[in-house]
Amino acid sequence: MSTASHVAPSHADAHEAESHHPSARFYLAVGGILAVITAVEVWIYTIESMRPILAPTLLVLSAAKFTMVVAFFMHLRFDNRMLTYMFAFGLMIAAGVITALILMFGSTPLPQLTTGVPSAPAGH
Amino acid sequence: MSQAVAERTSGAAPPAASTTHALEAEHPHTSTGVDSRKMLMWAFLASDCMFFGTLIATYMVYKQRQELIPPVPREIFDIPYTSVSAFVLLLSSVTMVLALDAIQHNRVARMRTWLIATALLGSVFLAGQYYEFTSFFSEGLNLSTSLFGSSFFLLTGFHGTHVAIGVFWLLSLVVQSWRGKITQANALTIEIAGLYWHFVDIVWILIFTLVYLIPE
Repeated sequence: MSTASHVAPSHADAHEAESHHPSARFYLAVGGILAVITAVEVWIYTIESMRPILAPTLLVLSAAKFTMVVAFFMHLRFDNRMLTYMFAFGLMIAAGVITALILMFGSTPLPQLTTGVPSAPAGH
Repeated sequence: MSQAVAERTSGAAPPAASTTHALEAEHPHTSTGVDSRKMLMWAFLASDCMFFGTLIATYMVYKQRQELIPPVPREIFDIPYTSVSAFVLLLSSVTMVLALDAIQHNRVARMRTWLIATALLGSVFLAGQYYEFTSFFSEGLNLSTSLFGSSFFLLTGFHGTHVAIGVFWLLSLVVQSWRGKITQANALTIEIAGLYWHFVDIVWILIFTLVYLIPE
């Protein structure tokens, strides 16, 4: 872990930061943590009493895995900040699209879905 | 130690001499300080986020509207089976980053081994997806069965296509390394391929949670 923590992307320029990738042992440790989180996700899924908080719990665990892979395996933690901003921009738009679509259509009933007959427009 | 020496002699210049060249090759003098190829890959990944974002959003909206048309997700999803697939793809991310670590330490043979392992794990994932798709077909779910079927196959199918492209990319890198074209000096080539592969993994992290684990 110490191999990762000694590099702060804010203080070094890109060249300096990129030459300080973590060791293989660190990557294996991150992989182990990711595997454990995945196992916990599946375990939580099987517990009936967890149903009320299943979705938020899984989302938090999933976000943790996502962040670890992007930060350490894709080296955003150690790379030029501009790459982080660029990726975050795409992520924010994707999150916005998901949120907007669910808010607009998630709870709207879908008429005539099973009959295949389109409903008449209002006013005709 | 002797193994490392043997690896270094298999496809690259001596490490002391090549390190300077490697750093120069990895860190060209661009106005941003970032190699243009790496910048391009990150821009592509950012745009791919939006692409998968729309597919995931479509699935999330449509899966709530298919209750009248079986089979429904809970009836056909095999969570233990898909969990193994998720583990396989996660493991492939570890082998990919170990390949990068190997070439950054001028260990070409070891890098090649990790690349082959990554491609194999990706192929196992694809084989698993093929089995899952065929079992869903046999249970009556296809692209035109329901909104759930359409959005599910579209989302996971596009992800599978990304994995397949990644496997071909990795195998092409293995062939290039056999021809001596992958050395410590151009480790960035492996890093860029790794960025793509890890992206495929993080997309599956989201799909596994949002599509398979979170109940409808």
